[in-house]
Amino acid sequence: MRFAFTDEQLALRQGAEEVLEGTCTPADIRAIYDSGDVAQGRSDLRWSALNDLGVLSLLAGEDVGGLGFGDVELVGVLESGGAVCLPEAVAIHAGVAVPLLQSLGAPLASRLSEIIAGGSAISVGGVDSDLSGPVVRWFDGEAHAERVEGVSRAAFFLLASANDDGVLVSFVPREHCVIERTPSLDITRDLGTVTWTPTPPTTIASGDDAVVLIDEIASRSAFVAAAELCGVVDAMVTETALYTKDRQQFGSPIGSFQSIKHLVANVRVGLEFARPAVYRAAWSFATQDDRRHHDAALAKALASELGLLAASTCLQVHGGIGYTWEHDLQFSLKRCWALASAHGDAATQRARAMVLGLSN
Amino acid sequence: MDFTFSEDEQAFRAEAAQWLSANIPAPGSLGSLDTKEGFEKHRAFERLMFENHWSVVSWPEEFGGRDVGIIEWLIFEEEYYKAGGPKRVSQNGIFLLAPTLFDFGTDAQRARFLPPMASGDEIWCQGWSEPDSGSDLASLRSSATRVDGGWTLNGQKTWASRGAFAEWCFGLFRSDPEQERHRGLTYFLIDMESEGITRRPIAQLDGETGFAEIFFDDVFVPDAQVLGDVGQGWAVAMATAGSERGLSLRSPARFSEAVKRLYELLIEREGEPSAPLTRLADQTAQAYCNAQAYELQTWWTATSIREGNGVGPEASATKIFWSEMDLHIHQTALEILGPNAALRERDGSLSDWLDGFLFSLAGPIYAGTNQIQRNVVAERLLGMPRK
Repeated sequence: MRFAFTDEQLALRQGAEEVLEGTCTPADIRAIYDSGDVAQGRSDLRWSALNDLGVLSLLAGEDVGGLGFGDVELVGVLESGGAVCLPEAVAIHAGVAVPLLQSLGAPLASRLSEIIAGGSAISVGGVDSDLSGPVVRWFDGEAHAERVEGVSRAAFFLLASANDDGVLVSFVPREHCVIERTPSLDITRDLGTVTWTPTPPTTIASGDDAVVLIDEIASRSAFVAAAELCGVVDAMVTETALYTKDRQQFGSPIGSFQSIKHLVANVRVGLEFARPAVYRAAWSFATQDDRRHHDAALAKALASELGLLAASTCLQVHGGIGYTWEHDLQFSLKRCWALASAHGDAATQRARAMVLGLSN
Repeated sequence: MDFTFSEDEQAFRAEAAQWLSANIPAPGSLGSLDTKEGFEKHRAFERLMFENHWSVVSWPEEFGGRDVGIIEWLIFEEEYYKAGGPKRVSQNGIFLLAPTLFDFGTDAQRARFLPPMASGDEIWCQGWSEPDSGSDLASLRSSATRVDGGWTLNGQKTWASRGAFAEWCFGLFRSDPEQERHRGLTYFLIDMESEGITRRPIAQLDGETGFAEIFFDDVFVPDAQVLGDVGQGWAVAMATAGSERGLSLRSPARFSEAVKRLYELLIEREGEPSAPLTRLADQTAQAYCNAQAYELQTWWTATSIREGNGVGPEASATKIFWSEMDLHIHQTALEILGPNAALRERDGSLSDWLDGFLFSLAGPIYAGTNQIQRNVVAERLLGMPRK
C-alpha cells in the first residue's frame, strides 16, 4: 500500500504545467471568448507543444509511438489542464480515445500509430451517463452524437450508437461526419453535434464487445472530467484566497472576515477529499482494477459537487467584479458548471457509486 | 502508487480478524460507556485486548504493542469496526495523550504511564477547556504555582470526557502569571485521586454522565508529572492535535461500516435504489461517497506520514469532514426511520441510531469547534489574513 506519486510522476506534471504556463495564458483564453473562434489564442501552438511533450500519447504503447505510461502519470497532466481551463479536448483525446483504441489491439494499431505520428486529435461522442450506467442513442440510418467536445480540431471520432441489432462503436474519419458546432456557455470546450452513418468498415466493436467498450468510454470520460475539475477548483480557490488578501472593505482585507474565511475553507475541504478519489480512480484504470467503474463514479460525484460549490463560492467572494465579462474568473466558473454536468452529474454518479459499491 | 497489500499486511489482517471475531462482545452487551457499569465493562474488554497485544498495535512491544506501522494500524481499525468493536474507553489516553508522551515524555514517564493506559487500568480524561475558555483556549486561567518538589494547581476545568470515572487527567495550566495567551502554560499529568480535586459529573444530552467539571483546590503535582518543559505547554498541547497518531481519533472504518448499515436500513424501508432517486436514497449515496472519500484521504495521509512528513493543518480539514459526515449519516438514518426515530428502545436505553445521532452532534463541537477549524484551513492552508 502506497498512495502517493513518484518523483517521476510529479516531474511529468510539472513539465505539463510549464508548457501550459507559457502557452495557455488568460489572454489566450480571452482571445477565444472575445472572438468565439476556438482556433484563436495560440491553439495550434499549444497542441503541438503538448504533442512534443508526449502528453497526447502518454497512454499509447511505445510500439505505436506513445510513451507507454499509465493513468497515474496522466492524472496530474489532466489537473494541470483543468487549472488553466485548457481549451483543447486533451483529456478526451489522451485519457479516453487513445487508451481505448490501444486496448482494441492489432486491427487499430497501425491507425493509432499514424494518428500519433501526425499529431491528430480524436474526439469521443454518443455516450451519456445514467444511474444504470451508460446511455446510447438509438439511430435509424443516420446517427447523432450531441455535445461532443473539441469538434473543430478532431480528425477522427470514436462514436457510440444503437439500433435494432444492438449497440455498436464506430471509428469515423472527420470527412465522413457532418459537424455542427453548438453554442455553449464555456465557448472554449468547442462542443458540437456529430452526424454519421454507421457502416461495417467503420464499426470497431459490436454486440457484447461494444457494451464493454461503451462502459469504458463512460467511466473514463467521468474520470478525466473529475481530474480536470480538481485542477480548475484548485486554481480558482487559490486565486480567490489571494483576492481576499488584496480586496479591502471596512478598512480590512475581506479575507480577515470569518464569514468569508469559512466559505472559502469549505471549498478547500472539498478539494482535500475529492482529489484522493480521483487519484485512486487513476490507479484503478492503470491496473484495470475491477473497481474502476465504481472509482470513476465516486471521483466524478465528489468532483462535480465540489465544482458547483467552488463556482458559487468564488463568485460570491469576488462580488460584483466576478460577475463581469472583464474578469478572468468567468473562465473557471463556466468550466466548472460545464464539467459538473457533463459525463454524469453529482447525483447520478454518487448513486452509481453507491450501487456498484454496496449491492451484492 | 499501489493499492495492494503485502503478504505480511494480509497475514496481519487475517490474524486480527480472527482474534476480533472470536472476542468482540455482542453488540450492545457492554452497555453505555457513560454509566459506571458500562464503563467497567468497556474497561474489562480493553484489558482482554491488551493481554492479547491488540489494544495498541502501533506502539513498541515494551509498552504492550506490536510495533507495527501506520498501514497495519489502519488495517487493524478496519477489522475492528467490521467486527462491530465497541467504543474505546481508553481513547483519550491511547489516541491523544500517548502520541504526546512519545514525543515529549521522559523514559520514566513512558514506562510509568503507557502500560496501564494500554491495559485500561488507568483511564485518562482531558483537562483543557475552562468555563470561560472554550474555543479561545489560550485565555485559560487555571494556575500552577511553584512549590518545593512540584506545583500547586488551582482552578476549574470543564467538558472533561470520561471525567466522571477517569483515574488520571492531562491538563494545561498557567504556570507563569506574568505571561499571557500561549506563553507561560505548562502541561501536567494529574492523579484524579489527589487531595484537593473535586469532580462534578455533567449529564449530557442523553442523560448520562459522559463528561465532568473538575475543581482544583491546592492540588499538589510532583515535578515528575510535568510533560515537556515548564512554560512550553502550548507547544505540547498543539503537538497532541497534530502528531501522527492523532490521525487515529476517527478511523475511516467507523464510517464505512455505519454507511453499510444505513444502506441496509434504506433498502428495508424503500427497496433497492432506482432512478429517479428518492431524497433519502440520494442522501444515503452522499454518505456513501463521503465515507469512501474519507477512507481514501486517510490512505493518502498515512502514506505521507510513513514517508516522514508530519500532519499539517490538513488535520483541520479532516476534522471538519468526518464530524459533518458523521452527523449527516445519523440524520439520514433518523429521517429514514421517521417518527419512530425518536422512540427509546432496548430496555429503556436509546436505540443505536438515536444514540449515535446524539454522539455525532458533539463532533463539530469538541476537539476544536468546526468554526475554529475553518479559520485554520483558511489561514494556514489558503494563506488568508488573520487580521
